[in-house]
Amino acid sequence: MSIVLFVSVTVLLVLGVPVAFAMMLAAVLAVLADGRFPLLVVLKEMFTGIDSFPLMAVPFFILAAELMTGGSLTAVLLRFANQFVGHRRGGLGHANVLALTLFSGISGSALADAAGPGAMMIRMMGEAGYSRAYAAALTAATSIVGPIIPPSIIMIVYALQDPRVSVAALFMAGIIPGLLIAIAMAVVNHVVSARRGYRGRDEQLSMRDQWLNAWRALPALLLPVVILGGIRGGIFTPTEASVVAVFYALLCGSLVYRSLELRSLPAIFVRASLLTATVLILVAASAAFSWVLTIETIPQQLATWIAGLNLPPLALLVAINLFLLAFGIFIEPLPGVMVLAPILAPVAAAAGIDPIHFAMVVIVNLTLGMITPPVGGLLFVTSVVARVPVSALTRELAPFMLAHLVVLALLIAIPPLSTWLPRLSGYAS
Amino acid sequence: MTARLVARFERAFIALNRWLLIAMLAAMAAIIFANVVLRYLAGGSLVWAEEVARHLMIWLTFLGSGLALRHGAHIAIENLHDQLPSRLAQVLRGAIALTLAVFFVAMIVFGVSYVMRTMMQMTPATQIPFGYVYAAMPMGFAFLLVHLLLVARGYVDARRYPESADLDASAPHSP
Repeated sequence: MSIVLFVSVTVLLVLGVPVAFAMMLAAVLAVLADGRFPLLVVLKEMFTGIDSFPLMAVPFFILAAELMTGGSLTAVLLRFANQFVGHRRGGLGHANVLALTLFSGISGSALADAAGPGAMMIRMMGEAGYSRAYAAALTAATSIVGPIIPPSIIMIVYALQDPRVSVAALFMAGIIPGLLIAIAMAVVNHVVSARRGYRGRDEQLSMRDQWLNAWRALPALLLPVVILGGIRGGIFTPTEASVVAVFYALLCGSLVYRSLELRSLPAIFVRASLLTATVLILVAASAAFSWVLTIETIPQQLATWIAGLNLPPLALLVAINLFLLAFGIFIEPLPGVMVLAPILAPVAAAAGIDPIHFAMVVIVNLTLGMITPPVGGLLFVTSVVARVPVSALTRELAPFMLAHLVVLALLIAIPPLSTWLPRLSGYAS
Repeated sequence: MTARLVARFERAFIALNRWLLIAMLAAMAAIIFANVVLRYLAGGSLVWAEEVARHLMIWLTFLGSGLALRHGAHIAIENLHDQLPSRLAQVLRGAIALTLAVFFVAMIVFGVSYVMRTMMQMTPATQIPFGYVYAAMPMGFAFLLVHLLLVARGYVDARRYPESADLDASAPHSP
């Protein structure tokens, strides 16, 4: 049964069948080949996989981000970021990093960061004399913070797979790793800019303009504060926070930025619906796929085998990470988390690794798969919006990838980077 | 004549699909937001809110998948298509389209039989047959099938998907 599952999913994926349908079809074929279960079980598992209230934070966070970017928010954030770092060497690159980091407090996915504000920043960097391939690489690499800094779709899905962690705890846990990644990207930008002579801007903004920019950016900057503060203060659950974010974004867009018009709402809602459908259909398909694995007791077998190795926690963590890096090259983070978290999280917990620490490392690791060729969603989106071939983009990505691996190594070696903030907020694990 | 009929059907079908999605997402947001507000202002909440919103989300997922397919929004690994000679790649895409069509038909059939079996079970809060919720699946796969048939030619020919004004609107505004 599991042989059929693995062979068919691999063949279908390589041939180019969309991931969600490849996983569903593999589950159907495995059940057919086995013959013990009625096929309806696949439908039932798909249904159960998305019949979840916590999961509803996914469409709402997507909608909130779309409503926010439907306005002129991107330009506002970029101008705000530029006034702090624009005068430095590689200034516009730094502004790009800072603006994407701020935006990741609104969006929950890396693709949203790259396709929305990222596209505009690549164009501006190109006009300012940066190579487009470099601008695209910087954007793709920095967009990784989207799902690391809360809100985060992947964290919502992870928390559903591992009862040891909550969405709230993961949201808190992501802040420091997300900022570390942003700093690492800025360091690479600094080094590359120094070597290539990318300059900052010369003129200095007046104090009045600076305050005006900050004032305009404030409502957007407050959104993550509302989300995290509300969850942390026990005022609302993550799902409720996400719907509050929707109405906050609606208010901001129509009253503060005044760029959100009634006639642009249908397109925004359709766009959010389509993104939601592509994410949740993948969750449904992964649920059916994982069910076959569970029936075949693959998770238990793997757990017994790993436990038999008797590795010390750190060695186990390193081994799992090497495996995930190889795995992530081929698999998108979402199905990766759906399939692997239920298998690996219990093993890690049994070995004495903090569940929040483990979750953070797995999420960062699998998200990096989005910028590794040949199969990286972020790579393709950025290459399309920047109109740069993937090969040129990949070449420019090398130093950023190295920086990402350094951050990942730090996260692996120093658990408090992930666990300190959640602990401080009272989410013990 | 047929071509014009197909084009008219396509336009109407897409409009229907879009407005269903808009209505469902808007209703979900309104219901859950109302529930949060009610809990704070009135101290109570709507018992049916969570269940209805959850079931709307399931319908949204399945009815949205077809429109997403139309615009090539589902993630796929298509490196092989770039490597193959274009004729061979077309044959491969033909095979994929055919596989998906057969799969969607099968899922419609299984889905309908699943719906039939669950018409007697009632949902806890709203007391409607579970079959109405499960119907999202056969209906969703039917939408997927129709969208697939409408775009199959462009996809097989040149991996081309119809443009979407909705998705293009995500192109960032100039400052």
